[in-house]
Amino acid sequence: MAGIELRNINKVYGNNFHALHDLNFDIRDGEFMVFVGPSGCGKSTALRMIAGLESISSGELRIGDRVVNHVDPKDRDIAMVFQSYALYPHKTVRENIVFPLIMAGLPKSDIASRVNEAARILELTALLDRKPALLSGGQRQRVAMGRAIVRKPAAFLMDEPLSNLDAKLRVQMRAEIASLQRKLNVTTIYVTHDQVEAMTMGDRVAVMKGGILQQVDTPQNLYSRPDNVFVAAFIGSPSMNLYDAVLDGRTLTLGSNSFEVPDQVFKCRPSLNGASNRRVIVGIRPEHMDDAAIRPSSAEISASVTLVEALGSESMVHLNIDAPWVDAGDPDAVAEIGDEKAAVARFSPKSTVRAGDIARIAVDAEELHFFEPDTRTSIW
Amino acid sequence: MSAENRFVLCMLAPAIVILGLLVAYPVGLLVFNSFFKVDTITPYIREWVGLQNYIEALTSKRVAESALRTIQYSIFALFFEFTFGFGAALLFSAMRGDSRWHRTIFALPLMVPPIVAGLLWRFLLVGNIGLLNYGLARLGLISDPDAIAWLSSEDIVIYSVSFADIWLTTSFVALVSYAGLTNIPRDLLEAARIDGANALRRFWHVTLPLMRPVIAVIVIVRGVDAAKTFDLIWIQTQGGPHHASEVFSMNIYQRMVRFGDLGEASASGTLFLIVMMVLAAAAYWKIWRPTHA
Amino acid sequence: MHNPPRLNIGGAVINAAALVLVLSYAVPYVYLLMTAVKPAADVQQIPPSFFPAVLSLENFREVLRSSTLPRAFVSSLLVAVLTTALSLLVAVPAAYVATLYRRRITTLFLLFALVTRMVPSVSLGVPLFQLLKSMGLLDTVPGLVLAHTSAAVPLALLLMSAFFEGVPKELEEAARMDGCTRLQAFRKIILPVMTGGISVTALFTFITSWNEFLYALLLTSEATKTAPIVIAEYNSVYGLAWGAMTAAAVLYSLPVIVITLALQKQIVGGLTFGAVKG
Repeated sequence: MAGIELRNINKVYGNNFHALHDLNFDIRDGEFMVFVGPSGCGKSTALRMIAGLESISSGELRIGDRVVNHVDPKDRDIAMVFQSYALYPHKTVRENIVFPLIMAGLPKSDIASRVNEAARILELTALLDRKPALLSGGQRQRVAMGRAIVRKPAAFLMDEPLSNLDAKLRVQMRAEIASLQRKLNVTTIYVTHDQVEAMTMGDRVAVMKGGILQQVDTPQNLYSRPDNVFVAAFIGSPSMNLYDAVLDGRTLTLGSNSFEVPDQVFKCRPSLNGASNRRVIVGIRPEHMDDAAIRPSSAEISASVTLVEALGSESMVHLNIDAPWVDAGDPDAVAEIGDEKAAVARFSPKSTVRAGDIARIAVDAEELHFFEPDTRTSIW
Repeated sequence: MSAENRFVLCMLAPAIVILGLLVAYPVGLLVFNSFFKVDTITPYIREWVGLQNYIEALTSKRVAESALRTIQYSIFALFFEFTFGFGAALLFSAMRGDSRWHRTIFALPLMVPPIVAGLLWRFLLVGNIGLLNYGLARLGLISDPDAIAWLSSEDIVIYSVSFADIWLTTSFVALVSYAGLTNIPRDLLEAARIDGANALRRFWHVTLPLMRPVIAVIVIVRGVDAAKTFDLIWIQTQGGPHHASEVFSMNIYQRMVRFGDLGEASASGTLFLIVMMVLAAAAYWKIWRPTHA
Repeated sequence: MHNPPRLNIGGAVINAAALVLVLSYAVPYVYLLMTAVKPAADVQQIPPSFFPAVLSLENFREVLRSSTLPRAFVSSLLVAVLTTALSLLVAVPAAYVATLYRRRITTLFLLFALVTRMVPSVSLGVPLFQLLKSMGLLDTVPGLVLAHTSAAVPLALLLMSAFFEGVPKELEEAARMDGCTRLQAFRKIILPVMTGGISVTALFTFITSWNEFLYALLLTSEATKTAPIVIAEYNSVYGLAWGAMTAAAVLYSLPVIVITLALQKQIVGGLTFGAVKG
């Protein structure tokens, strides 16, 4: 069990591609840390550098108190679960799990007891003599985990271990991995592109984009206090709606709409005080917009409804707000056709709006987010 | 050097040594020898003659004829190997049911050593006792069994000796083509069918373009092999009658062993090597047009 | 796997055509077998017949009685086995790093190996003769093994590279995480997975050496004569001993056919290079 420290870690590839820029943060002992971000953000690269499968161009990596920049993967006391599981196809499940222990030279009795314990925890006891080819995806995934936990390493590294499973199994395994980690209390770094996994599993989450760390914080803080536009839009589904707006005193003008911003907001974000025709980027989460006919509020805007998706528990309403929308900069986001990007709001299921209507939308103004237009960072 | 680079170098080293010693060095020696007047039996007695060996090789009538024969042989053989082989592959892939046994039996010639194939065809083609002529006569295709002197006619012998080669390697072409054909996703052909293309047009517009790399491999590999052929022709005719079946490789052999002229044989050998490499490179660029480096 | 033809007739015609094609392809070899089991006198009868009038093992007895053919078989076998062993030893590690540790030097190396395949044996035979002579290895088994290896290694490299393409790099990485050095990962995890590909490569390498004629002609004389040379020598000043030659040829071609048929599933798979990922 150990903490992991990244100090100014950089990775530059042979063709001068700068994959990671000055990565600087800590992973605490026993913590479940999630690296999340769109494809190409460098999260897997960072993981592989911690594993020792990629060299570190500059900076220092510590596991425990050791600087491990030039230490072989096998000597770092870490275990890894690969996205494709990488099970040894010619070995049985038992032999797969036993392999690292044999390589470590453990005495036979220890090996047997550890394997049986791991098999019990992961419910693999009945499958121990099968070969990977005869296992289902979920079973293979558990064998990969078994191979990792049996080593009792200082840290677990997991590279998108659930992406090859179907949705239902993924949800189930998510919970199992989280509870397993809590039980074993081993430092774990988990890489995923799925922000739902990140939010539900991580003690803390590191959001990355383009090789740069955007924010590392608890899921709750990432949701309620995102540091910049990208994190704000990345966390939460559907994404936060982002628009260019003007703040003048206490009045926020959003396209053809204006409303008063409550005092609470100015208490949390003192820099917003004394604004005089100040350009800002304002962010409104879909869950903070509702049908004004059902829940009126002091802050209301109008927009035309383009699409209503009734889910039963709520309605996803797509709206055209006549204000300039802001691109969050997520490379994985679907490109918009034409200039219009619809905002999405989560209306109460009792709402009766239909496509084509002009709706009055109640905005929960205390939950508004404000960002600097040029730096795109949060205004506090 | 990083641990990784050291590892790569160590794993590569034996191969580099072997190929360096057994291929690179001899090729160097070959080129070196080509600039000398030297005898095969007394290689230490040598005299520098610059490009003279090359000039003699390029102006020699016999060498030129053997080069021509190599081209005739190669094109003839390659054409039939390719048409029969590719045709067989199409037949196999169009077959209902499993073609595995067909393909296995069809692969039989692949397992036959070239020497044996050469002997076999010699036996089939030789005058008096060759079965082929008797078969043709019985089928009424020729008037009598002595009508065609496959191996003793100076005009056609260069083509007759290729029958063995065609028999031997049509299987290779067929099997590789078949592998290529079965790798074509069915969806593409079905989409073409829905778009209104009949079998011929599907073949021309979908199958053929996707088979490009496979065809390129076959043409390059077999083309070069056909040009290099020695065993097969040697065992059938030893170059006869009157050098009428002497291809370039055999000419080099004669020059080195029969005439003992190491210098000239080396010059011819070097020329041969250069031509082969140029042709292979040209075929690679033109036909394959590699999609990724 | 196949599109069923629209008319039953079409399918039957194709099947029939395929059958005819395949059988006619086997005919020449069958003829060889038929000839070998004819009595020696009948072999060269005029007009020739396809089937033997009576079955006779005369020809086989004659070639086996002579001392040169059995000894030549032993030479061929020895050389082929040693060539295969040496070629695999050299080519398998090289192909492994060329495929899973791609970098400039490995790409260059593979290109170099490809080019060596373009070199006509006769071009190489001349200097190889000199080289082996200076090493005192003419007409010896080691000498011929070296010559055969020069031809076999490029082939083995190409084949093994294709097979290694199907191995995911993550397998090696998992092994290195589990406590292996790179070499241990190669030996303990990668090699056991590659046994199929290695067998196919071994077979093709063996066949390449077993069938080889030119180098044997150039680089050996009495002591290390291989089977193909002896078979060719049945064409002597006394004429062609067809009966003996066909019998010897049948014996010579049998081992390869038997082994290949035994491994036929892997062979046909082995020729589908890119489809190894399965």
